[in-house]
Amino acid sequence: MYFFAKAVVCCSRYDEDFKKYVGMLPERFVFRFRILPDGASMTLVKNNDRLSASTGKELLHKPDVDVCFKNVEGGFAFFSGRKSFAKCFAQSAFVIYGDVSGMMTVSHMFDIVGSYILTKRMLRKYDRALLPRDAGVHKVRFLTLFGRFGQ
Amino acid sequence: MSTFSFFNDTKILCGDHALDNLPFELRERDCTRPLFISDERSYRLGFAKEVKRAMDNDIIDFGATYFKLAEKASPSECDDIINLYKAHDCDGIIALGGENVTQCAKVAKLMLLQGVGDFVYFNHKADMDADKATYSDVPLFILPTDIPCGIEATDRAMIYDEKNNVFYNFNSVLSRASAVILDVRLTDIMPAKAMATAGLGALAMGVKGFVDNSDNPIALAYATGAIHTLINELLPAMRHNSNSDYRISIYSSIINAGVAYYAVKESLMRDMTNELSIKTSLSALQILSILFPVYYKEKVGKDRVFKSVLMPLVGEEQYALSNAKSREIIAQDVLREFWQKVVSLAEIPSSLHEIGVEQSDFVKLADAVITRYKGNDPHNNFTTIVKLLEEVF
Amino acid sequence: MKNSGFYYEFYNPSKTVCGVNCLAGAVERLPRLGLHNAFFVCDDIDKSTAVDEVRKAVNAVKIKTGAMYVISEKAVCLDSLREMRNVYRVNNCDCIIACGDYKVINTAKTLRLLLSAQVARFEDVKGINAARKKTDIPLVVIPTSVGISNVMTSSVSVKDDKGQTFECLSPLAAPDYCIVDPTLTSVFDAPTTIAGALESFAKNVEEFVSKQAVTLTKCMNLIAIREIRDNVFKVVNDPMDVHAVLGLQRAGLLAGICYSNASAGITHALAGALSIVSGAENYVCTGIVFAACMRYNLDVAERDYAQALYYIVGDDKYAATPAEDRARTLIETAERLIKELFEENGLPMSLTQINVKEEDLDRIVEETMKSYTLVTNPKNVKKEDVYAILRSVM
Repeated sequence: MYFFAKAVVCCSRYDEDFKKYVGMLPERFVFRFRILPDGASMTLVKNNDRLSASTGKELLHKPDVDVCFKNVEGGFAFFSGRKSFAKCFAQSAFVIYGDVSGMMTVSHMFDIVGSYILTKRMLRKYDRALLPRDAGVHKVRFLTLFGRFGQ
Repeated sequence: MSTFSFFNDTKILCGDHALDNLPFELRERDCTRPLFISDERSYRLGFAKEVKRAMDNDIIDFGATYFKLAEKASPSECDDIINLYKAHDCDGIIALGGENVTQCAKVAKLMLLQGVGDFVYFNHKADMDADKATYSDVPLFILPTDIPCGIEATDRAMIYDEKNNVFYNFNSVLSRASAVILDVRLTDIMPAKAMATAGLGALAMGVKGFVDNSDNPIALAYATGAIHTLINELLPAMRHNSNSDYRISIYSSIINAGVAYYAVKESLMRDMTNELSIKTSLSALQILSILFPVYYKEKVGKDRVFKSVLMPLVGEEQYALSNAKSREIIAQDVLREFWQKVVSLAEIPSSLHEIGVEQSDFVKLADAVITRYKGNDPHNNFTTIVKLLEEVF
Repeated sequence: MKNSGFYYEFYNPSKTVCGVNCLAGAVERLPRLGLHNAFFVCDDIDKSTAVDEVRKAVNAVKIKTGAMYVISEKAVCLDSLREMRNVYRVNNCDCIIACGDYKVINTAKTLRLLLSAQVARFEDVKGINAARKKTDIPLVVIPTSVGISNVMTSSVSVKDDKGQTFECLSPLAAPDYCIVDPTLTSVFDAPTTIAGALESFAKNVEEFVSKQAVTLTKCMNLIAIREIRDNVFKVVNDPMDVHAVLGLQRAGLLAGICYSNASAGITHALAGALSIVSGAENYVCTGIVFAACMRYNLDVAERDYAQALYYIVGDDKYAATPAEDRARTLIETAERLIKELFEENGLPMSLTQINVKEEDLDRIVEETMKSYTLVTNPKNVKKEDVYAILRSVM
């Protein structure tokens, strides 16, 4: 979850498609992923057309989209790239509180993140239709692994 | 097109990691102190531990546990469950195990909702045709470990009182499970024989459900799906019985076939199966796997719907190519060939005398069936039953 | 054989009673649900006698009419929901009986969702399976139209105060009791029948190829497609044929059950977006984009389309069509049928005819990408793909 959050933040800076999707979200849009009933969580906030991340559980206000995985296994399968967002949805792995259309934008964004950080083989399993990105893959992967968290 | 009515609100969770969703389902139903019941076999095989492990990550704890259910469901077992449930102030039941656990749990739920604590009293009071969609529920979660028996997702529950030689057959929405959870981790490798018997029994249920539910598109879909899966995956599941994907697929079709089979209120076939089940102490699926050939033979030329069974049996391609007038004969041939293939491959009993039924029992059996049968089809009489029994002897 | 990692859930919480003249028999059982004082939600009473019939039947089993609310607007808006909630509470009602078409049922389902979850604002139940049941509010729905694919679904769509439409998915939105009696349907003109049949057909095909579909839902979809094929022209030719109307309604019921369990795909998303932007009826938009969307999914859903062809064309034509051409034949057949029916009834056949201009495409695409049904479309949908589909039907 920690690395995934870093990858999302990196993509929001370097990928043009990703930026377009971020642009579709309203300012101060908050989305959170968490594991039920009281597990780990990841919160992403849009600030000045950029996304920033935190793994703190406390939030100042209710998230616009709150994706809650029903159990650890479901969350792990998603964050480790074994299951795509679409597959998790099809298998009812989570419940979603909040704006469903916002959730869709987030799902498109996560597909892009997947195409950066997953290997070709994993990507085929994750979602056959996604292609590895041509440019900036190494930069995003490097920053995901070694970059600073949360900005 | 006549009127149909269908109601089945049991949630089915089937496949990989289905068990991990149990805590979520419990929370959704505000169940915080479930009673966890199981039989010794499931406990010894470690399935109970798997369930406990799935609950470990969660805030919910068991209200009480009971792992000593006997191999045969009986009224005294139901009483034990009720006493435990009340003593520990539980608010739901998790039933892990085979047919015995399922039956006991369903009857216990029915008793709890009826507000009775003793089976003897309960039997006189039970409202068999309750139709409440909104009642104060006792969430019941069924986790089959053996091959399912087909009643998991239905209104049915059956208990045989050996002491008094009475067979109780309950049919009430109050006995329905909230969810059936089929997880690979809770199943073990099944011998090809057991898989073959259950598969053929379920196919019989599916075909019967298909023919009897021609006016009920929802039950028809359950039957069609079950027939299609069983005909295509039963043989591979027997050959590769360690393959959990095939296993789960067959198990879920047995549950679906059960929904279609029990969607019809009265059935001579079902009454005959129950009587033979009591007589031989075998499961309904085992009996059905023997009665099956007689059943489809009976339908040829008499039932206009039977020819449509060919569709899920052979698929659209073969169905479209077949002669419309001979479809029922082809359906019968396909079923017979399949039955013979499975029976010879698994070497399972194919006649009544192989399971210990004597010809001298026929009159008594037929008498019991006709007493139990509440339908009004004039063809279903004493002579028909004896004739059917003789054919499978 | 299933892929490793195979998992599905199936849930259908509604009781269905369906048949010609089944109303009286079905409502007889309602008092056993503990209903005494009903809140009626219905459409324009002057247009049909169905509401009166239902009220009489319900009153005959000693369930009072606590209050009645007539729906006039096309989409559910929050203001009317607030008002309905107040009326429900003031009159001490204990159940909701909805009798009418799509909009009536959608409104009643949303009201039940809010009352059952005991929340004051729609924001609190927005989402997918987000609402939790706090109290029992039995909901009985009695559809009076042919296109009833929304009756059994657990989804509702609501317009918020800013005019934006939200979809919400929750088992609390599904009715407890659904009574389908074709004698309660109004006498329809051909376009209304086409509307119902087309929406139901498109939904069934989409659900059939959805990523979430399983054997059980697929069987339901195929049975529904066959019912539509057998009955649609009968109803067009004779709207009084109650058995044919019942056939279409049964297909709608099945589509609804599958929608809750298998979701839909790009046609649903695109038609919804088009309807919002252009203001055209949803079925018209479905008719315009359906074939193009099927063509878009063809490469990944070819096998399923080929299978579905049988249920449209029957034995002879299916057997005569080479296996590799079956999927394409399905699309062509659907396209031809829609064209014929639309042309005969003077319905628009392209985006230009419903006043969609090139500059509207951006908004349509944006709205389409917001629909959650895209997630279960067999093909991963990108913005460019939606543009291409829209341009092909301009």
